[in-house]
Amino acid sequence: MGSWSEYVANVKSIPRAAWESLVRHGPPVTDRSRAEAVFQNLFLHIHSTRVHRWSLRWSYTMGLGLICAASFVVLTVTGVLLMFYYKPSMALAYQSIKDIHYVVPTGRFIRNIHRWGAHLMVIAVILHMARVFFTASYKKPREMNWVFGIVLLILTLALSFSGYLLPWDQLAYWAVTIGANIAQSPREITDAIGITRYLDIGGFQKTLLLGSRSVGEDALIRFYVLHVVFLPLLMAVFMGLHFWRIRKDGGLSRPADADRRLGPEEKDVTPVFTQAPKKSYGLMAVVRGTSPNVGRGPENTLPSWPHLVTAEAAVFMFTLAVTVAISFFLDAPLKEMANPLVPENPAKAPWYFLGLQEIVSFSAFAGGVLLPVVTLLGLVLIPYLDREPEGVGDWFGAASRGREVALRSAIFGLAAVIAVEAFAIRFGWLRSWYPGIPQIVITFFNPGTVLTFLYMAYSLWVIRWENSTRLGAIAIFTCFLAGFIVLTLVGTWFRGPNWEFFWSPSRWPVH
Amino acid sequence: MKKLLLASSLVTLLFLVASGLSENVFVSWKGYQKEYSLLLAGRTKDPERKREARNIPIELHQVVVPDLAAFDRCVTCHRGMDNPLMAGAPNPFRPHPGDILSVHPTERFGCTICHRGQGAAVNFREAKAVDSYWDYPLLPQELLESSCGICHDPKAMAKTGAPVLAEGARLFEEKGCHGCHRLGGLGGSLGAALDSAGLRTRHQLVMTNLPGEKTTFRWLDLHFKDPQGIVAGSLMKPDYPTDEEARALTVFMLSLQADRELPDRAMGRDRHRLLSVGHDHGERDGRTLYDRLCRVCHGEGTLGIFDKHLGRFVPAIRNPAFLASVDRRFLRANILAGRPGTLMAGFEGGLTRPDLERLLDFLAAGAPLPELRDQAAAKRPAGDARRGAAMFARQCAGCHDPGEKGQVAPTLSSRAFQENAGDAMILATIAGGRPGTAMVAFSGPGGAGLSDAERSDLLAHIRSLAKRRK
Repeated sequence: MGSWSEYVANVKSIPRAAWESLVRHGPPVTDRSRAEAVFQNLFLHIHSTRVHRWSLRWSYTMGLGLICAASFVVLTVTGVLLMFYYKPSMALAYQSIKDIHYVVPTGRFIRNIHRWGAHLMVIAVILHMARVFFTASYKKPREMNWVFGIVLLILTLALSFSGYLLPWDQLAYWAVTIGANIAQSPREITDAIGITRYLDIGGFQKTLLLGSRSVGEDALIRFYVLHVVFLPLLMAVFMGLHFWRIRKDGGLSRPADADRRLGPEEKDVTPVFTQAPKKSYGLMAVVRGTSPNVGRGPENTLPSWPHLVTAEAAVFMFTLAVTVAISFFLDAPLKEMANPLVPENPAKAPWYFLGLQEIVSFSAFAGGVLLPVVTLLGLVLIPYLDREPEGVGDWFGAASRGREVALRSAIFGLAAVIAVEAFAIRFGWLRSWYPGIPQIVITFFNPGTVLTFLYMAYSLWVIRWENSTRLGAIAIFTCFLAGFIVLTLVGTWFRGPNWEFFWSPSRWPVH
Repeated sequence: MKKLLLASSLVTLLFLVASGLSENVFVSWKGYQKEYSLLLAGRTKDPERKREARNIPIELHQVVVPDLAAFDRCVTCHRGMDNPLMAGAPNPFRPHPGDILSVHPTERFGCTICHRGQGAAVNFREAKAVDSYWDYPLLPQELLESSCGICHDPKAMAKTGAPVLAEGARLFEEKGCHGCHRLGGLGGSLGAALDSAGLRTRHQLVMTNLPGEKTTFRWLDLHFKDPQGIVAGSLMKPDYPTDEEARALTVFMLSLQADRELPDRAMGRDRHRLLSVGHDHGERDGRTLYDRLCRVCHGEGTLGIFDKHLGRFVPAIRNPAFLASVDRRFLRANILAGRPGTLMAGFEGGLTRPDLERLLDFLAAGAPLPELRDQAAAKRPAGDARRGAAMFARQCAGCHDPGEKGQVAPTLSSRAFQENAGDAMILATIAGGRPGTAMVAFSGPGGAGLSDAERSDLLAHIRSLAKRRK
């Protein structure tokens, strides 16, 4: 009978026993159980069990990195849902998008989320990069994580661009046609030297991208595979690396005197160390570098559960809320079915490439290859060119005058880009004065290269004048950001048919 | 933090529910189907049928006709299309008017092959697809006949269902549209070829000056009424058609879809004939050819005309004096290659050789028109181009100013003229003039009294114009 009552009791307590076998620690009310909540959970154990109070400040991170990650999750889920209905072939692709739009239950909404989420992610990635830069968080020991971040930026843009072709509408077709011609632009150089016959880098790149000479079936399947398998996998790998390095590099960056500046914590915050730790931190002592707890106690840290986890959940839900709100009211664009006989005018790349397309309108090689490569190379090199240890963890942090130099650089950067653009729009460029001029001259002398030269010269001058590599870095980063924003705005709003200047899209000649 | 989490979660939930409802529950087609089943139940007497009608499942319907690329969901709302019980019911429930569906059953042809519009859409605004990203918006009812012309011969439809289309085809020929526009292998090259005019999208037409909805059919209609008002600087002659004429022409234009790939079953004898011999079935005698190709600019061709619309002089090509001075070779070359620098564009490719010879026979009007005129007259002492130039400036430049492009009279320096006008023709024209045109006789009885030598001087000068072109 004893075993019978035990059996009954077992049946009654199945839910509790199942729960306990799933969550093998008590309710997260003690320091120990909170730590266990994090490190015993596969999905949470990427966090450290305790997190520094500096890292939890909104004004410091603004949750931007999390927004990027959250967008990626949202895009993966909606993307997989779309894959159930999308058919990657020229004959069926457009019709399948129309079916998703009209027939698939909530298909329109899911596609909208996917489209707007992608734009949101690009914005968040750029802002996150700016945050990391301006808080000097790329410095030792986080140099390589900054480089991983640049890789993630490239992957984000590649993912967004490869998804652009899939609806197979006019917007997609002509944007990718432009992209393919940019890939072909090294011919500007090889043509000028006269070696295109022997070494056709541009033609090779274009064929590699499209799988044929023009945007067609091969390009579509290529972009599809890149978009749904290859790039997301790479992205996941690099995201893993990125997160892993955050922990290995000692958590988010913070100033050396963060503890002093934070002061005593607020009353209602879960207190620090309610009990003596039962877990040994001895292992941490052998970890290389300056992990948060090496050589001292974990003062000023809070348990990741609930502080960090709640914050992350809030950012995730906030990202989702913004995305669904936009997606409810605004439909993702879908133009007429791709028609190679009816060119879009103007044919515009996705917005984040319009700054480059503005330069491409002078020289495809300069805008599509030269400047992006120079910019990305510069970004990668920043942590190795500027190794001053001061200013880490502070907005516009530097040994001195970081904020002032950032402001001055912003003004210079804006003034320079507006002046050069206004000149080019008002008076034209070399081609309008000397119609017979060889293209190679414009390849190396156009508004884009002129701006790059001005910005580089300015930042070198700042390095010499202020005697600080950090201030020089602030100067060039701020200038490039200003240039990117203005050129993107010009490309988006002020360029109409035939890439001519218009004060607003409403003044375009209707065609 | 927790407040943000709560608020964001609630907002997310709200929009998820809202979009789920708006895309799946509150959709217009479900409402229409409910209304339809009630209407149908009300119109049947038989209780069994009544119950059936009330219990019609509410679901999406579509007609898929792969070889016509039709995925038409119109029938999702238009439930009563083939149900005579719904006669007199309001749209979208009423049966299809006429007996067209008995010959063109929906399941074999779909809806959009005739009506255009976006068949995939399941609400009326997007099915109509006006001013949206769709190439072929729903055709207004009064233009529907245009779709008959995709497969059928317009002229054969005058009494069988498409009188407006047939009228449009007739007007197109009557008004001389072929003079500038090529269609079915016949016509000039000054205007756009129209074989697939009905397939053009709004992005292929200049919509800047079109008020209101930017559709190709509104563009066509207004363009027929006021070409220059829609396309600034258009050379098309305003014909001031009536509303009915403009509509008929619009219908005919929309029916022209030669480039459209159709399955064999839709390629009746009619379409084969249209695509191979043209809308006039290849019936082209000299008079007809003249009326269709030449008349719109040259009029009857016996009098020189100053065309106010074109702002230039149009030669009298049926003038007996003109015909007496030219030969077939000259006329043929001018017709095929055109007259560069003038609005006379070449008809090469828009006129078959037999048609061309028939047209020449008509121009000659029974008079002898030799293949090549005797050039013996040219064997005379060469004139002095310098003296000729002075005379040309005094006597001829007023009309034949070589600096201007044929403003009043033909340009004499053009290659077509220089290569094809024989010396004999030029001398004869100077001597005898062109009765009925501004070109008067410069010698002989009643002429201005130029001697033979002076005429030779002029000829030498005119020939020197050719060299100056280079």
